[in-house]
Amino acid sequence: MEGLANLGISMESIVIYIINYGLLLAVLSYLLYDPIVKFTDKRRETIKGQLEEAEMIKKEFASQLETLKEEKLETEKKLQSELEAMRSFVEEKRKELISEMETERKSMLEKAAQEIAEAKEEMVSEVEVELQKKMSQIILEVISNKVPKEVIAESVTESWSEYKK
Amino acid sequence: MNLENFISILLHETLSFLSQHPNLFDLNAKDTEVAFDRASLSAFSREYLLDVDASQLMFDLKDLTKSMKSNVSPSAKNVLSAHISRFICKLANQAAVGLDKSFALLSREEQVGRLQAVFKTDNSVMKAFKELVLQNSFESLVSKVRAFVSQQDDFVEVTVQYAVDVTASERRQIVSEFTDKYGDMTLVYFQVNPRLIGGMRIFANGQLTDLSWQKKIETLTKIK
Repeated sequence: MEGLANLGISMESIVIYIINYGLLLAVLSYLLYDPIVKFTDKRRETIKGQLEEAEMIKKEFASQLETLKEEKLETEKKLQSELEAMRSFVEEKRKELISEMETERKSMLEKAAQEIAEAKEEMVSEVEVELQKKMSQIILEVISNKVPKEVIAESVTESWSEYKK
Repeated sequence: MNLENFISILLHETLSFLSQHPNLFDLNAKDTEVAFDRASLSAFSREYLLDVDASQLMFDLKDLTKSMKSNVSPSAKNVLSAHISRFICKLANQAAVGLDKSFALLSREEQVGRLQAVFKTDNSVMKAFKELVLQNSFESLVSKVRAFVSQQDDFVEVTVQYAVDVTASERRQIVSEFTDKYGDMTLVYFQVNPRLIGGMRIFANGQLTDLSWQKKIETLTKIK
């Protein structure tokens, strides 16, 4: 005690200080503790609610993201399927078109070949007829100028005999 | 003179004879022949009058008049029309035999002489026929005869083409062959066609027989 007294600190002062402090603490506790607790509780609730909301939003986003991913996958599948169907259709059409073109080409080739053959036949026939005419003309010319009249007269008589048979 | 005039002369001769001999159908065969000879009747009138009786004669005349007026074919039962056709064919064939293609180049006097040689009979009918030949080309005469005779069912037309003209004897043989084959109502027409070169071509009763050299050469020169 003497030490404290040497330092200028009396026991009474300390008690007073403790009482003051206790009083101050009691008053402050009485006046400020509840509002502060309420405020902090409210604040905690708010933060908790916001955190929950954020969590919910996060979950919702995650869910939506999942849905979107699924939808995207589904769409991709559909697209792939449609693309495959389209490819198949195009391939089929291409084959049909090629087949038609091939048939048409064959038909045109056959027609062209037929026309060429006919034209050739006609040309050959015309040449043959012309040749026959020329040959006949030459032979008739030669015979009509060279055969004696008696022979021709005889041929008429022979023809009549042949006819009568 | 045309073919119608000639037919009128044929009918005139027959009817004149009948008017002079109204009892002809009551005469016996011998007396009929005597009457024919006295009247110098043509072969046509003789054959026709021997072939018909009075009722057939009346029918023929009525039918022929009717057909000539209305320009239609005479009835198939018309004996007169058939006799006229036969007679005309016979004369045309006789002319075709006796008159070769040089006939057209002769003078009128020479033609008369040639006709006299071919048709020796000189009654009114034959005189008219000779005039008919003199006044018409043989082609046009044949064409007219064909037009008249073609009304008959039995009519057959024969065209004979040869490279050079043949003798009258050969032509007679040809005519005889066809008249034997197809009957008296056959009209044979001869044509000289130098383009045949040799042989002959016969178009008989719608059928062609080509025995010409031209045909033979064409056949030979055919490639196919």
